Amino acid sequence: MKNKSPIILLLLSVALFYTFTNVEYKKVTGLQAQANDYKDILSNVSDIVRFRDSLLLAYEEFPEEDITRINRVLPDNVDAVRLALELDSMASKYGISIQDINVEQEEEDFSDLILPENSLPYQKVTVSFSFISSYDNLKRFLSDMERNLRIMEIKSLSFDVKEDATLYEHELAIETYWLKE
Amino acid sequence: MTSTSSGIAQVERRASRTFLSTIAFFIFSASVILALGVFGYRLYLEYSIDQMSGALEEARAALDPEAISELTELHRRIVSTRSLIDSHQVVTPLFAFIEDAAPRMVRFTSFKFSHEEGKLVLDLTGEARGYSALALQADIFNKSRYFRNPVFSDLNLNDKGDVKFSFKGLLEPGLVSYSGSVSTETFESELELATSTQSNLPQI
Repeated sequence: MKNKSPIILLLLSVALFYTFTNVEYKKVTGLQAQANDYKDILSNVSDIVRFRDSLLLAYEEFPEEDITRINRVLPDNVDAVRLALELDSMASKYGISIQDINVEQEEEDFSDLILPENSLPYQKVTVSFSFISSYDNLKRFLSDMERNLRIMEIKSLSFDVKEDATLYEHELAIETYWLKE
Repeated sequence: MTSTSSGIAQVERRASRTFLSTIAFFIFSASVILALGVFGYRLYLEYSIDQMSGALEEARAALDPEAISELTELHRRIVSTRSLIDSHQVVTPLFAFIEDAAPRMVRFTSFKFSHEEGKLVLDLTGEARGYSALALQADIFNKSRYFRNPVFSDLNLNDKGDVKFSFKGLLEPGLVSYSGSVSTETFESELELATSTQSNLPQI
């Protein structure tokens, strides 16, 4: 029995290493990496706080009016009714009545889920409508739309000029945008 | 003599066994110490991660996530607005250009501006008092830097003897660019070009 005890001890050592120490070592490696990540993040917290403070300071210097204006340039939602109202009030300045308003929302692009870095931060909606107006009023109405605070992109415009007529029927499609969640 | 040599051999065997036992004991002890050390270090790491996780939660709460999300949203809005304004297009300078570029003896009867596969397409139909007036119009449009592939087609005489025509051309985005129209230099130089072309050509 005495002769076999060194062999038993060696076998126990090997068994202990493979069944316990090695398994624990693998866990320790993972935990060590996790602990290092935490240490890095915590050491950056003070930098982040300083950066946030400087950004908040800059943000507070923004005039309230500018914030409101930029929220109007790219609103949080499409709000089709308000958009129609905005177009109608622009048109009515030139005696134009907007008809047949059709709102077509762009469908969600699911390829964004695969390559989110390629996705646009805003969504589009196409609004098409028709109206009757003179050529000069058409230009004024378009000019107002082009310079409107809420961005309106003219996607298509068509009209026919009838001989001896001063009013023409126009078909117009615009694209407008809002910020995604 | 024989009993002396067998005694020496026994002593050597015993010494060898003792040496092997010592080595085996040393290895076993080392493996137990190693196992305890790794186990203890794991416990320490778990405790340490738990502590740091708590500290991180506190730091996150102190960062005021609402304010940060407000800042992030404003940043996204500003960046998006800038990109939309850069690509914003205005159609009104196009009307001014067509008005100035049309000779007196040419009138347009329909106008269609559209986006087709990312290109800006202008379709016009019109009537010209004779082929020479139409040639003048074609010359102005062909010389313009803002039309690519200008094509006049469907030439026909109507009852009054005027030449009916169709025009299709791809617009250079510069003509309808909002940022370009803000500076207006390019557009004004294009108008000058159209005007000088009309004055240099023989009048109809």
